Amino acid sequence: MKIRTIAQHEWRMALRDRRLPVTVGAMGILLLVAGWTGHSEHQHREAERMELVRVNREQWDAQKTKNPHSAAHYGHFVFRPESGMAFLDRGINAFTGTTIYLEPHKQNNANFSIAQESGASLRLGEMSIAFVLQLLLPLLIIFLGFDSITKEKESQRLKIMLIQGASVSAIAMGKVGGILRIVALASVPPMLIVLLVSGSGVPIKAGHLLCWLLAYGIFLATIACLTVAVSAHSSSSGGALIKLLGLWMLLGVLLPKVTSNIGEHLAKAPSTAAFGYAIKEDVKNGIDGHNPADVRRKILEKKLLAQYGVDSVKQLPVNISGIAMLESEVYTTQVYNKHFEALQAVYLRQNQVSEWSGWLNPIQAMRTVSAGLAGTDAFANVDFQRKAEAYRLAFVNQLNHFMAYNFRSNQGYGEIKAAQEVLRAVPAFDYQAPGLLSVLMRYIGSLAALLFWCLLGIWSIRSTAKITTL
Amino acid sequence: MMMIMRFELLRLLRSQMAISLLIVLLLCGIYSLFYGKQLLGRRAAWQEEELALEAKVLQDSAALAKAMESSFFLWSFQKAVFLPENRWSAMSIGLSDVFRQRFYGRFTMTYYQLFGTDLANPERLAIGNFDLAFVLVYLFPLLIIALSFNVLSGERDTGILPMLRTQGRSERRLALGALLFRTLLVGSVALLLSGLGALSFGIPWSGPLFGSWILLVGLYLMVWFALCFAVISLRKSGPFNAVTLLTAWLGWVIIIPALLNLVMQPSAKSKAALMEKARVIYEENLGAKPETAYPNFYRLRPHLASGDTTQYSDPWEDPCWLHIAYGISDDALRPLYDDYRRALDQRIDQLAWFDWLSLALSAQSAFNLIAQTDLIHQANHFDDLLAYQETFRQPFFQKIFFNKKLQVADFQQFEKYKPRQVPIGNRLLNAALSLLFPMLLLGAWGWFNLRDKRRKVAILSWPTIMFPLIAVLLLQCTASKKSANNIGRMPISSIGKNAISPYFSLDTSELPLLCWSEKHNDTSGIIQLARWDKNRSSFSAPIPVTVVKKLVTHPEELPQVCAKSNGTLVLAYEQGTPTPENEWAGVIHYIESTDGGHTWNAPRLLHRDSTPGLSHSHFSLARLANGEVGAIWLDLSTPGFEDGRLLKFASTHGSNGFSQEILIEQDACECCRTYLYCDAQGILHALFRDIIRGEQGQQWRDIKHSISKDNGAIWSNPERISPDNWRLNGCPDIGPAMTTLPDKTLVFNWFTGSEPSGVFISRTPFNAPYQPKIQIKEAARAPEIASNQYGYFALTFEDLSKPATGTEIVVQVFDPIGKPSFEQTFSPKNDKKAYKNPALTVLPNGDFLLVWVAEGQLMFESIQLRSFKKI
Repeated sequence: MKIRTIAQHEWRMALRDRRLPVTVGAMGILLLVAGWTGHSEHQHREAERMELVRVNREQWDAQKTKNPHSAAHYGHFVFRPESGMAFLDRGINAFTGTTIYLEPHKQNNANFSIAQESGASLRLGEMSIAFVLQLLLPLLIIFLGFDSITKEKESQRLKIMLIQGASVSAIAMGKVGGILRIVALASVPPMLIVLLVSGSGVPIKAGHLLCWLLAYGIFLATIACLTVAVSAHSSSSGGALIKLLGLWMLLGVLLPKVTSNIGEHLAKAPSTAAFGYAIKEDVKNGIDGHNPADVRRKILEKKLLAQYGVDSVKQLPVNISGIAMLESEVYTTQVYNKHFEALQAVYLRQNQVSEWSGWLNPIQAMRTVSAGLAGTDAFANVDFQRKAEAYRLAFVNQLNHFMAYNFRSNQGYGEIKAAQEVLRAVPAFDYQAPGLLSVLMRYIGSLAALLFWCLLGIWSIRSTAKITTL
Repeated sequence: MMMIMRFELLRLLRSQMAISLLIVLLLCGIYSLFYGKQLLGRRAAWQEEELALEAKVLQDSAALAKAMESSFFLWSFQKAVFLPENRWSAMSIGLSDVFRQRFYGRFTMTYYQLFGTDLANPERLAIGNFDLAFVLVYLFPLLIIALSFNVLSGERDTGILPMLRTQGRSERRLALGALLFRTLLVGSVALLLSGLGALSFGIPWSGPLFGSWILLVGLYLMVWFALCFAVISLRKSGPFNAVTLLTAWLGWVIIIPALLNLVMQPSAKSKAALMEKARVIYEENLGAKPETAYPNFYRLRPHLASGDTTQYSDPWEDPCWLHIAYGISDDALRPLYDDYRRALDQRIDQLAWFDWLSLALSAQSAFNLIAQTDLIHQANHFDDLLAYQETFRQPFFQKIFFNKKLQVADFQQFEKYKPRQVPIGNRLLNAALSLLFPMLLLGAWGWFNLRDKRRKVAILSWPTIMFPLIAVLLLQCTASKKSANNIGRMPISSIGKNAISPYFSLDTSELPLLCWSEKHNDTSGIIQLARWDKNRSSFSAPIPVTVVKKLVTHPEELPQVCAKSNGTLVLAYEQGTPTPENEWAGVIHYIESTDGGHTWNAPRLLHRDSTPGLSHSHFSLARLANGEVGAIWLDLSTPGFEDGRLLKFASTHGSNGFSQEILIEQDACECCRTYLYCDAQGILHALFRDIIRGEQGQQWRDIKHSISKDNGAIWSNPERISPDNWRLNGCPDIGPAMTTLPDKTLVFNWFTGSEPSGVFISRTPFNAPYQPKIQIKEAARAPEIASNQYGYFALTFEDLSKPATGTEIVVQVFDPIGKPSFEQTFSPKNDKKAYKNPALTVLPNGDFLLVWVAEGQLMFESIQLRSFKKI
């Protein structure tokens, strides 16, 4: 008996079941609702962001002639764009700040996360296509497959099928094929509709999307294999259902929380106060605790006097305040970057516990890969912050540079003016998300874990051949 | 029943699966307590660390401030503000890890408080917490389902059921017995975990919050049992029950909250847009011209004005300039912040109603509310922190604005931040009802389905009637709570502000405008304004209008606001101008605002006379039929008498202000409040206490009434509304009030000291002689009155009849024929304290709105239309 025949038989049997249209229909509707609403919300947020970007730029351009450093202090707001696939998987987007205020001398945190104005429902989950694919479709697979082998055992049909020449593993593989057809019926049409409709929004990168779909294909196939394997190794349908539901609860809900908690313990993050104080101390006293600000200023003065061959600061053909601010900006950026990277390293260590637990839990592996490919993960968030910081340093120093080399040191602060054109020459912030390769490299461990689970699933089906208790 | 329960106990003890599940759940619960304990420990360690760092920062700051120009130093100074320790947060972490826990007190850029974020790993935040609330909301229903899905169906499959039935036990009785046993079992575990949590987190057992927690936990578990009962009652197989119950769990706990979360996502734009606007406002005001900046700043802060505030032609030479520029920026940002908060409150209310769609969400929201880890409490912190900043910087401003150096000690005397208590009673009730309602419906459904079909009357049994009836009543009760969501003795002003003299008028949309005054310092008062927000059923955040030196404010002389029909607000107040000869001398000023009360023009005199040392007082404002504002007041003394005063009228004429004074009466009582009222037909009524002089020098002080049908141009001869003949050679200091009903009946209320004394009303039909008075209360004073479009009128007064318990506020509502239909008394919480200064107005829907002063704080409550028939 061929695997295809068993799969077709399973498919036909499923079609005769009156519960199937209800379950498949409900799942399809959920996917459609999640996709449709998610996409319209995503577009709405993007429109709001574009408006904020426009207002920010208009405000910047409306500045009159003023001291360039004052203009820098007026600052820029940068707003994190959502990736084109953010509506498929919200990832951690609701919990990350959407806006950073960029100003001289300091790095600010990203502010205004959606979570900060949300109600209690936020902690009960966020509906998205990824949410359905990660949590609800596995549940559908469990309901479809928990009795796939046990019912054959209970009705003694398994013996007949074996007599007809089929092996248990071939029957199990056929069952997996049948379940996957139903899962495809429930998920592919609604997702196709959603993807076609979403064409009008932020463009989706084809490479990211294909990898994302492929990963989910592997994930769902793995869940189907494991479900059928559990059914094959169970003596009764009820027992198989309880085991599978228990596993679903453990892997889908409990384990992610527990591993996150363990991560938080293994890598302790500093408090906001301690973080801010350490930066303040470093800025004041030097990164290594010596070479304070006034000493650095004196060294700079000496260097400039020697460079331009003059005796006093007032004779300098350049503006020493501008040069000092250039130097200071580089220095403070170094301090901030040191602390920011240290903090990110702590977060990375915390998150790695969850990532590594992907080897124990396919749902966690899938969650990591999915958010990564959708550009809604911690990596994308940090990337945005780093690029915003690079932009901050560039625009502040563009203005400091103008001040340093277009004015002399004997000119007072009030005499140093930058015309509107100088200010308008500051380029706008244009964020480019990381490419596919860097995402895949970043999550190579989780991808490997996903593949491992897939192989384990296939092996578990093949291992059913050894089942002797019928 | 006991036998069934004993049987169930034996069955449980033999079931390995049930015992395993119970153990797993207990372990999860204990882990959640451990998780909560860790959170408290981490927060305590952070706060300890921050306190140490803060001490260092303050030490450095003190040294720096001494070394530097004090005022310049303070503009960038900030100090940490610690939120009070919240032990409940360990039970239900809610969104407290997402919200800010660390704030700053600042001297400038007050609204930047809104724009910070604490450090947190967003990935960890996204995964959520393993707290006790999670175990109760997420996992307990699964245990209930696992233990209960097989009730009856198990007995049916094993063939025991027919045997049990032959013993005379009905299926309903069997199911109820089995479920009751499981309820007690699961409830005990939940109680045990909650008790352990309270014990390990140091939460008092006896407090109302713990009681509410237990009640809500109980209700939440019972609604799941009711669901099991309803599903069992369908008499299907065990697997069918299990799948149905799991689908319900999936829907209520996972799918509906997740969908709501998607649909109800907030916009991140509101705050970002506010921040963008703040940047522009700060920038503009830093470059503001001194001739506009200084008056704008000192208008609300006259106590900071020292000497010549116009001495700096270049404001940057002024060491306090940054504080001034940022101060007026903050004033300009206030309405934007109010808009933001209004939108946030609307969102909070919407979220509360969506909780009804999911049991899990309802329970989770209620737990967060108890634990103060919800959006309401966070939003409350914003308001309180803004007020706190205003308080803590005042001592510093008193120094830097008067060129005094700051001392190290100044940095060691910061007042502690104490947030206001948020009233959560109504919201908890809403949550409880949202659980009770489905519980009763499901219970009734199960009861009906499991009826003994051989009995014909089963369908009419008491639970099938009573359960849905109670459920419908609950729904009705909850619906009625909707409009009262924020109502229930809510504070308007902050504690410690010494609020006094509330006064109501209506804006052009017929919504209440409230103004009152607060003590600003020993010599000045601040006038506050608040609008009624019909969406929130509450008042907007108070808008400070102006600070007035020697502001005269007491229940008989209150600042009053009145809206012209074009929306311009006119606000009048008396300012004392005492002289050695006349300590009561004063003038009535008025100011106008064309932008809803955010900016006001310079004060002008309401009356023509401006002779120093003379009295002008006891005014009353009303909107006239022509859309202008009219005023009556007590002007100069009656010629030939020291105690009588002239009663005059004037009205505004477009932008020209008050003009064309008209004399109404020349011997009015010198210190009783006057009352100007314009009825629906446009007739103006002036009420006042008059002096009726006898031939031998004796005086009677009774209330008189005069009307004008031409917007105050000509007034009728004043007539006594009641011949009280209160003989008194002195001023009683208590004025009248009136209203008219839809049938044009005039209703007056006033106090008289003649026998019988007390508060009276008189209902006089239109164009009829004044009707005899009716005594309302003997030991009472300060009566106020208002009527609605349905002909009901409400009366409020201070009840002095219980000196042992302090002065109370009483509201009485009368139906259109004058029959009392409702009465409510508001008593002070502490003995011998007084509730005072009641004021009353009507809302567009016919409800009455009451405000009063409770120990220096202004409170409000609505008296709802449907309550009127309570008596």
